[in-house]
Amino acid sequence: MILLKKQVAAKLLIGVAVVGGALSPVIASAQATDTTTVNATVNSAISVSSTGTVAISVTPDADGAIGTGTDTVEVDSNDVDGYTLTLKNDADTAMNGPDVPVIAATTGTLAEPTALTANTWGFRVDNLGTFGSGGTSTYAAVGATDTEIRSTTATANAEQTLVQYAVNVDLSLPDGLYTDTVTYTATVK
Amino acid sequence: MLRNLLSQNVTAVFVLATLLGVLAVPVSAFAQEDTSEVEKITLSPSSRDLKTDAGATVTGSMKIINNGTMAYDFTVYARPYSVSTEAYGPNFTDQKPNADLYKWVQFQQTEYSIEPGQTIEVPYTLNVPENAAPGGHYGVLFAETKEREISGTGVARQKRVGKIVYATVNGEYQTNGALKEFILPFWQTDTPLESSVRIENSGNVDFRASVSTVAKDVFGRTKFKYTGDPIVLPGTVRLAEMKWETAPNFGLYNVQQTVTFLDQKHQNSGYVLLTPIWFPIVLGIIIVAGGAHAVLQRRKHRN
Repeated sequence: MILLKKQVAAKLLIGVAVVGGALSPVIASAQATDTTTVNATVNSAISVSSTGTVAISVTPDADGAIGTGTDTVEVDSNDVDGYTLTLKNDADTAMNGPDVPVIAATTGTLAEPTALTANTWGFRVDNLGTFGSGGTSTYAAVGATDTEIRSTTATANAEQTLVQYAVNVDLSLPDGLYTDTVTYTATVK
Repeated sequence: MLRNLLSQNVTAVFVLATLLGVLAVPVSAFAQEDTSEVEKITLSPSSRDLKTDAGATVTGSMKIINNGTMAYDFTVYARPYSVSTEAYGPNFTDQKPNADLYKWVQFQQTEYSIEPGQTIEVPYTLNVPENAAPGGHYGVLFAETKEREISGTGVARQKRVGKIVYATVNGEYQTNGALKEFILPFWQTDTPLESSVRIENSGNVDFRASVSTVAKDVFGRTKFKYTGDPIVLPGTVRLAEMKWETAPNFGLYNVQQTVTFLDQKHQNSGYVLLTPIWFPIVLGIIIVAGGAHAVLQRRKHRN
């Protein structure tokens, strides 16, 4: 009798298990996968910047006194072949003031920079051409055509070029404001 | 004791004088730059390659971004583009026959004002002439800031950034190029390590070259790798430089150069010895001194 009860209980358990399994929700876990390619296009770009103004204050004397001002020009470029930075003037290369005479451009050139004579002005970039480094005594004229002042062969991140401008004036020049406009140009190679 | 005291005082005076000399600032007439405001102009993309037909109209645009701290006005215009040197110094004035793309350019608007943080899309159109010769035509599109008035004697600055356009007009044109030479000096006395190649374009349309330099040390470890894709304009030779700017002052490297353009591939390899210029002189003196010493010692032993 006890054996019979056990057999019945076992059959009941099996039956419950089978019915329960049959009634349990069937989860269809068929998985589908797909791939997506993510593309990022990085455009080329180039920028040039400088800060504030380049003001030069000078008190002349009979022999001529020199005043200087430095411009920090920054270039950014993500072109791996590098960039070129040039400097140029407009057709009038003199520094014009309230009246004639003017502060003429120096006769010095990039190939042969010279010391400024009285009432002339110019620029220099250390280690460019024959300027040498560290000295402040020789200058070249900012010409009317683009003059290369920096040339690179790699990308640039806030790469700085220091351009120093200088005037030499004596007492024959009327006092007042003398200015000139120059243009920096940055292009990739 | 008195001598010691005097010696110490002299030493103290000497040190003080040296410090004063170092700290003394020479007075000169110069003006400090005002760094509080930044005027910055960015252009993207910085170049464009295109192929077109004679008589076609091509549209495009360039983004001008003001990521400085000052608002400014700028103008856009086009100019010729050619190169003056093998290092590709740009020329924006000479009107060479294939530097005529600037004549095709038309801007809907040429004057703009832009605030800090602002981006302006500048559209342009290229009206390719019906009689445009097949082959390459080149020009540059500029965005130029307007000068600011300055309150004293000094220099006012304008800044301009350029987008170089390389256009090929379809038709019968010639593509032809040649490797002129690899440049890889064995003994180099200063950094950067110089590695370059000269590529000639004798056709009438531009092509891009793929250049690379790999420098390995004596153990075979790669210490430097450079890749570039310089464009070579027709009728020019381009010096493509692949400098290792941060090379150590002393070392022996196995350098491999590769250039690929059109259907050509060229390779060159060699050793580069980087040493200061005084090194072989010192080495020579040591060798001679050592040899002389050895000879003298031998004579001494004989005697």
